[in-house]
Amino acid sequence: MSDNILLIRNLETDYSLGNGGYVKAIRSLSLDVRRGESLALVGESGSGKSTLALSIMRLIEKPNKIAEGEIIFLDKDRDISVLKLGEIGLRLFRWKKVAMIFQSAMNILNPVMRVENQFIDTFEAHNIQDDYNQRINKYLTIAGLGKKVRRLYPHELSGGMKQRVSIALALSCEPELLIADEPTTALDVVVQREILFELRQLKNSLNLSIIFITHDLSVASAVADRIGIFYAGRIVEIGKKNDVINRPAHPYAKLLLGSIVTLSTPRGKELSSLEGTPPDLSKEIKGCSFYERCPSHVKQCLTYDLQPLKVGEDHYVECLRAQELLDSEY
Amino acid sequence: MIGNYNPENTNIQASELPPVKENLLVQIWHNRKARTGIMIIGFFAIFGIIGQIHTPYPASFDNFPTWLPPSAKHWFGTDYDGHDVFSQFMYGTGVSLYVGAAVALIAVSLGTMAGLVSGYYGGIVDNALMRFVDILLILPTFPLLVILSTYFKPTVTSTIIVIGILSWPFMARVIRSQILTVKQRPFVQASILAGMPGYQIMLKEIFKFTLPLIIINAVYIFVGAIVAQAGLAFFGLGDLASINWGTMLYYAQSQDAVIYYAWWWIVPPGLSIAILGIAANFFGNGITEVFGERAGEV
Amino acid sequence: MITRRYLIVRSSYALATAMIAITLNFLLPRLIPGNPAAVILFANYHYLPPGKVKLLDSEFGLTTNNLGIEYLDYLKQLFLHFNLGVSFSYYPATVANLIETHLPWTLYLLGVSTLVSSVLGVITGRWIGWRAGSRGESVTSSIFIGLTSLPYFWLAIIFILVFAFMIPIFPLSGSFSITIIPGPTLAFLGSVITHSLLPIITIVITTFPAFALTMRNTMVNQNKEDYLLMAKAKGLPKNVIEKRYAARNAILPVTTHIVLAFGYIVSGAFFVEVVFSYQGIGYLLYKAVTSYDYPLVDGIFLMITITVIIANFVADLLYAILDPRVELR
Repeated sequence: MSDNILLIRNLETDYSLGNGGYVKAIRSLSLDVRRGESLALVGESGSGKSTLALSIMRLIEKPNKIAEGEIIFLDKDRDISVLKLGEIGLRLFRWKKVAMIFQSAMNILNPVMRVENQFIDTFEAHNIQDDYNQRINKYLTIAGLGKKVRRLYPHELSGGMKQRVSIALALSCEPELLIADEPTTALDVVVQREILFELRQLKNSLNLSIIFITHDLSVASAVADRIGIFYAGRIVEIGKKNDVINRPAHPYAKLLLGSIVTLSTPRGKELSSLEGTPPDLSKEIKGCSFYERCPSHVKQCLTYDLQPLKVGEDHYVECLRAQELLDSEY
Repeated sequence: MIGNYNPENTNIQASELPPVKENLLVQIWHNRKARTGIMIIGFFAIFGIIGQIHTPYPASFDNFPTWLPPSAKHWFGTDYDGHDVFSQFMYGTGVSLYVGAAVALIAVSLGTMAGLVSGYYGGIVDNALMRFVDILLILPTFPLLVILSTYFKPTVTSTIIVIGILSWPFMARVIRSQILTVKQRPFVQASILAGMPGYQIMLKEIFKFTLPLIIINAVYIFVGAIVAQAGLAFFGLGDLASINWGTMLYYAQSQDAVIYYAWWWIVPPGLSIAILGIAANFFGNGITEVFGERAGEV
Repeated sequence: MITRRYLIVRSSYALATAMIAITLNFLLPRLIPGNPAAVILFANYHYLPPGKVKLLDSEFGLTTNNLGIEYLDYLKQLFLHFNLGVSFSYYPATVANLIETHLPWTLYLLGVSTLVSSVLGVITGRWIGWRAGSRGESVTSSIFIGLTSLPYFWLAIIFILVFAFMIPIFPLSGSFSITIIPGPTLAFLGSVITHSLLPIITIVITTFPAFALTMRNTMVNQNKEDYLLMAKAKGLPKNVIEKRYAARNAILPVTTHIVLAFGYIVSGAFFVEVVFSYQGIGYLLYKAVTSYDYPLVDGIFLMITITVIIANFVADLLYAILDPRVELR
């Protein structure tokens, strides 16, 4: 058993529909994140990836709620049950233990505060005693920014610079786990590659664990050790990067991978496409959530208890026919 | 802003407003706040119309004893000159509401037109109109009203015109920004590319998106105008022989009603203005809620 | 940040608006056929010897000249000598003189009530906005909506009726007690304060709820902002998030609202002055209007307009200091 940093058990996060009803954005999800690894979670928009990130930080706000489950952060000397933390405990947990790079950096910084003050208030909140100036300079440099940025206001920064500031901010309290929620989608391709490259470097030099959330498989394959495929509020397949990309077992993962063209895609190969729409998460789903759209579904899928099946070393799939499909194809 | 009825206080996001559809009226009626607002305004309207046809005593009859407190014979007592206050109030309600409605008609037409033209055509026209609006918004409205009313012949109509031409700038601005967002929508762009004439696009495609804003602004201007007219009358401006809420308060003040503790003369017109104001706010908030819910539909 | 460009553009706006007001002020009396001023003048002073009438004519600027020359002369008189003409009803007092003696009272009323009202509005609005959705908040908001709907002058009359007649705890009218000689004494100061309390309370009660409601709404909208989510994620204490993130950003649109409402507060102060017979500009305007004192009405209008324009300009600068993003489109 490798050394874990975060355990998620049977997590359910609900979004209020405003009429008393709820949408289950995360449905009884369990996940282990390992210390020092980089885990990419891939899925279509609306599959619940970002909700998972917000749930880990407990940033789900009323009327939405985390209805069930457990999130355990395995600190060096003790286990922290995130969902049971009190107000102050939660406040100190955030950013110091788990920090986050948000999806859109455009509006993530307080427009009326200078960049440096948005570092300083964080340091103050977490009782950091170092020399603030040195610390700010250090992390701005790590994020590839000059010291001049400190004195600027957010509107004086470009989109890429803002994203870098938010990376520097996320690292500045030296968290053990970093959640990067689509950190580069808003940026142009060149900047995107630079930032991804830097994040991977940082992971190695700072011994960080990273959860990478993206809808882009090529991004995932560039940064991840392991990849998890998200569908309808659950992780339907998870395994080492190469296993998931080269030998996907879940029919959804296969279709998702098959719909991407890369330079190595043989000419003339037919691109698969996804038909139909994801299931309505405000209703109870029996068995496999991909049943409706699945080309290989069988009757038993409707009564499947969603126990993940092991199909290879460290490779788990939430599909009854996973092994069978793998055997027939590869 | 003539009255304190600030449409900005409603939480409306102009860009989120969908066009008006037929079942909208039903939906507005089902909103509790909007319905309360409509019912209060409707009550006053009916009361005012009846007052034009029939009052317990002729409104200008002044041979009752003076300063009588309320009684079964005189529900709101009598004033300094021996008028029956209830009859005056009933008749005056109609006049005040007429002023509000007429001003709303003028200001809404001007504001909508300016907003449509400015928002749709942009460029120099837009620039010129909006700078003009900026200037009108900076000029303090009430002193401007006072000076204009001082020089124009004091009739109810002249008061309406003066208030009307000063009430549209804020609305023009709101409508304009709504149009700027609607203009970016694909179907409008398509119509432009298809070569549809500008006025047709405005009337057929864009106008309906501004209706919610027009409705809300019309109600605020309506109440704002009643307050403004009452304010002018209170300053002794406008036609003081006309019986309305404003002149009632003017005479109550100038004839020292407070010395006679004649609250029955002061309270009805003032409280009515306040209640109308609350009704307008209810209505505005209700409409905002209805459109907020519908915003996702388009 | 105030850039030079911002300063130039804003001040040219202010100047243009002022020039329009001045021109309007010049034109209005001259566009009215059969100059009503002359009629009133004649009605009041018809017993004056002919020579005196001629003298009055030139003093009131009633001589018929070329409009362009008159305009230039008007501007010259205004800018070089602050000459706004002579009052009909207070003859021989000049309009400038009358304004000078009445202005301090209005500035005092306006200054104190605007300050109190905006501070109170921002504080209460911030409080209810941060608690939006709670029962206390919805009750308070409803009461505030009711208060914004009260007409100034009506509330003033009711206050006089209740607090000066029924329960006589406040003085009835005037700016200070007539039994006290004005001067730098404590008795005079005390009298001035007690006389101004009820007028100020009236203005504050009818204006601060509107500011509070605007502040409430912008506070509520702050919850949708990404930087607020970020602030929570960073583990900042609640009071820091409320103060440095939510309130600090929410106050920006509120300043604009306060500025736009300033003209409204001015007119409110006028009504209140009339009801309380408070010796300010509003009361003077009321006297001028009721006695058809056209030069005085014109002069007051001009003075108010320019005051409001200056207030707007100052507020623009203030806004630019508060919001680092302002660089002028």
